Amino acid sequence: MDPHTLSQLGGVELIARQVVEGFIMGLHRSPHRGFSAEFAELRAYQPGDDLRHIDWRMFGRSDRYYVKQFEEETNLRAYVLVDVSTSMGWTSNPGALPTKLWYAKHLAASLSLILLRQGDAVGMAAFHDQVVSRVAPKGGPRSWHELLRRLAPLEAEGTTSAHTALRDIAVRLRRRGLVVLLSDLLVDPETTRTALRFLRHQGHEVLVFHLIDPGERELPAAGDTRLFDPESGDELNVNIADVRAAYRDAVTEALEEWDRGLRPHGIDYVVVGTETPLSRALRAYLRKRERLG
Amino acid sequence: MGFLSPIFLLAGLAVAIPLILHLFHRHDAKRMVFPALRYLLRTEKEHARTIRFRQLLLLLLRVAAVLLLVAAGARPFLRGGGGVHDPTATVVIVDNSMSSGLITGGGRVLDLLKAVALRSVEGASDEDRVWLIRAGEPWGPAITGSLAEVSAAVSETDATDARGDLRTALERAVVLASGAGLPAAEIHLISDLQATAFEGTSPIDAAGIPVVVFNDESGDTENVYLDSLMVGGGLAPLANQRTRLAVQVAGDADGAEVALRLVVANRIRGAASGRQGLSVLLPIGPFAAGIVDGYVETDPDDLRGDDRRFFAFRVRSAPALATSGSVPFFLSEAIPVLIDAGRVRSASARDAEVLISVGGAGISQTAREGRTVIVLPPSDPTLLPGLNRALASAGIPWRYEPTTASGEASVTRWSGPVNLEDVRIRSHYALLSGSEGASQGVLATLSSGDPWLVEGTTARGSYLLLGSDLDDESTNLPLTAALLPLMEWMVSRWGDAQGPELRAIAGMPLSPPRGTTVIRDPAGTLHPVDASQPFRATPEAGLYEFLEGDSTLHVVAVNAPSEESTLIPIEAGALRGLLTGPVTLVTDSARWTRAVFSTGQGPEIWRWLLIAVILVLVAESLVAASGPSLESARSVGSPALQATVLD
Repeated sequence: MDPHTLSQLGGVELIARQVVEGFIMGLHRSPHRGFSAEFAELRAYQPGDDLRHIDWRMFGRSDRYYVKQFEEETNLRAYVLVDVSTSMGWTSNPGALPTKLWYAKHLAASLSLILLRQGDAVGMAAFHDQVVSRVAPKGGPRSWHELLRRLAPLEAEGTTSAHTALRDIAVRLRRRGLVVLLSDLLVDPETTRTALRFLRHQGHEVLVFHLIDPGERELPAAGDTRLFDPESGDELNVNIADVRAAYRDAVTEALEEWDRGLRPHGIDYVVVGTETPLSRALRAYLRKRERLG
Repeated sequence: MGFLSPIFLLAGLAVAIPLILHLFHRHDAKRMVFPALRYLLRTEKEHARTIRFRQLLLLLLRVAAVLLLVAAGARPFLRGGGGVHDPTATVVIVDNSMSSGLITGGGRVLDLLKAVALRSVEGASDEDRVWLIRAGEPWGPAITGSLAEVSAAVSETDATDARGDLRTALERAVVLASGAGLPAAEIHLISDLQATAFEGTSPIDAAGIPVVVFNDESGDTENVYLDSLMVGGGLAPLANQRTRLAVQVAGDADGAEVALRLVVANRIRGAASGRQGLSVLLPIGPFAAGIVDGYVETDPDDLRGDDRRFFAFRVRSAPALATSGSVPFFLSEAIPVLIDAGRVRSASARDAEVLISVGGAGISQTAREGRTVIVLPPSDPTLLPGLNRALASAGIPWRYEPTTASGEASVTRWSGPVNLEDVRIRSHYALLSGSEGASQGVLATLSSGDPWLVEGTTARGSYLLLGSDLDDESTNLPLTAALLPLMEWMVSRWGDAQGPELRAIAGMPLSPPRGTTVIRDPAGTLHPVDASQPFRATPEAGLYEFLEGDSTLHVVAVNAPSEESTLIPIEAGALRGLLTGPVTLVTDSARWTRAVFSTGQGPEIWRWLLIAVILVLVAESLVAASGPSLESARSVGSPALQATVLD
């Protein structure tokens, strides 16, 4: 279902459930192999291996040292960051298209539900020029409701300073985990990319959903217009026909810059149009998890 | 270029629309919240110059489209060029006067004028009416007919030796064009525009009819020609006596020496040389009684028509002279001198060809037919009644009356060959004419305004009346050297040696002598004539023979008018001053076709303008649709990015 149809169904909880129920969710494995309950395989002993994990039975049979390895069913600690700056509250076609914030909130809820059902811990932070709401990562069904309770009242306001929020999260995340950023990225690109790369450097997996309204990719069919940026207060008189193609180029170039600035560092970057069904955005997440193993 | 719907040009004010939109419309633009403005700001910085250029280009294209559309709506057409025009009464005046025979640039001026005239005819349509007036043939009617006939008439036009009277030609053209009743009229004046061809300074009323003038400026204006020719100093050549021809060399070229040849009866009888501005005397004779004709010529130059001067005169025996009445002393002394010189013969009053009558004596007596009477008034005014009765009985429409004028008088109006400047008239009588026509015979007038010498013709013969006696109390004439020449001149007029025919001009009518049945022109063509009617077909200079059957009654030498030899053209400003109404001067024959039929229209070009409008609009659309980076705008992004875009 497209976002507009979904928005007619009800609140965040119902919509997120509708979206997630459409998925076949398998237990995703932890990328970190450890020595937990479930046996995985034997391998030859190497100097430095813990002597407690030597399989003495195999030694008795083969007169060789083998070490038992187990797959750890870890609880992934995921952190969903939601941009709630003023620009997120804009839609190019009110009534027909949801705002970017609506899309971000529902995508966050859906992702959280998937993660929680897989036994992961999910936290959330909403920010504009500062963090306005934060939920520490927790697992279990109650966590989702707590997340929904914190997501639902979020309103678009303030200017965006994503790097501030990202650095705040980086400080708080002690264990390696998954960081999902939901933003229109109308931010300072360099500082934001630096902050994202810092998260990656700390060992976190980072997934960026660049939410973009169709009206931001293609200028509306209007003549002479005075455009107003609600965040910066800038105004510009333009003839849409005159700048349409150049604007299209500029958007494409900006998206490419984001891609070039993130992907080589192992950061997944996904451009999501707000007219796109939420399930397609979730598939991007699944691809990410597949790569994580 | 003209417009069929010029009012539509007012719609050109619509050009203000794109200008206003361009200049002011932006300020009224609607305001729209657009968070992604930062992308646009980057675009604006990078492409501001390109965008401004595109906007200016769009403005120009839109203005051009409006202007072209407005111009097309006004239905423009090209003038001339053989296009359609309103039915036009067109009078083509071709100047084929003597000067048009000038050779310049390897061709004849007339040939150029004819070529231009043919373009006029070719530019006319079947709905036009076209006349051809040959300015060098003022006696000829205007030629009209089909275009082919007029064109043929133009081609057949040849140079005459007559004077081109462009004023008269224009006046005729105005009458023809304005009376045709067609929607438009035009006069095409195709001439070398000699200043002398416009006689007088009063404006020529063209009645608002456009006059298109071809002004050939290529001709040389320097010319040497033979001007006046006089036989015997104005005195009648007499049989078996030598006389002389005086020919004036004139022109505006440098004073180089000019060779002259005298040809009589087709044989060269003399040669001389002269310089411009000088009169050359050529001895001629003696001849037996009869008609002598010939010409004086010089080496041909670019204008041949004035290089030959024709003459014809009658050689007669010395006239038989008689006197009657109380002959004054000085006259009685002068007559024997003339007799001794062989200029006159003495005869009785009955047989005399010339009778000098003092106080009217002998006028009424029977005399031979054609006798000339020279009347001298009596010194006693009491005898005037008798003189007047005698004049009346002889049919002479003049009478003498005492005058109230006092003091000396001089001869002021006199064109005879004798110099009368020193002559003073102390007392004279008033000569009063009894009829209107008689006053035309006044040969000399006194400073008092009274006629002094008059001539005329009656059924009996001719007469000369002198206004004063010839005694030394009435005038000092007997004491001057002018007495004998004047007497000889008066006597010789009867001999008709220096009649007006020596001044006959090509193009002017000739009066045939009584009995003339046929006139042979210089080309040998015989023209049957009625002697009572003037003969007008004198386009060619030369000798015109008046025949009665096979007998030659008279020969008249017709010469080209000296005005035609002055090639200086009229100035453009003077020409515009002469012609009231629109005048177009064309100096380049290649532009003639475009200049004529100005009221007409050439092909309409609104279709081409509409095509231009479409092309401009297509260009405008292309410019408007294309951004500064059209090619890159068509690409969405790199393949890697395309893979992550979800929409």
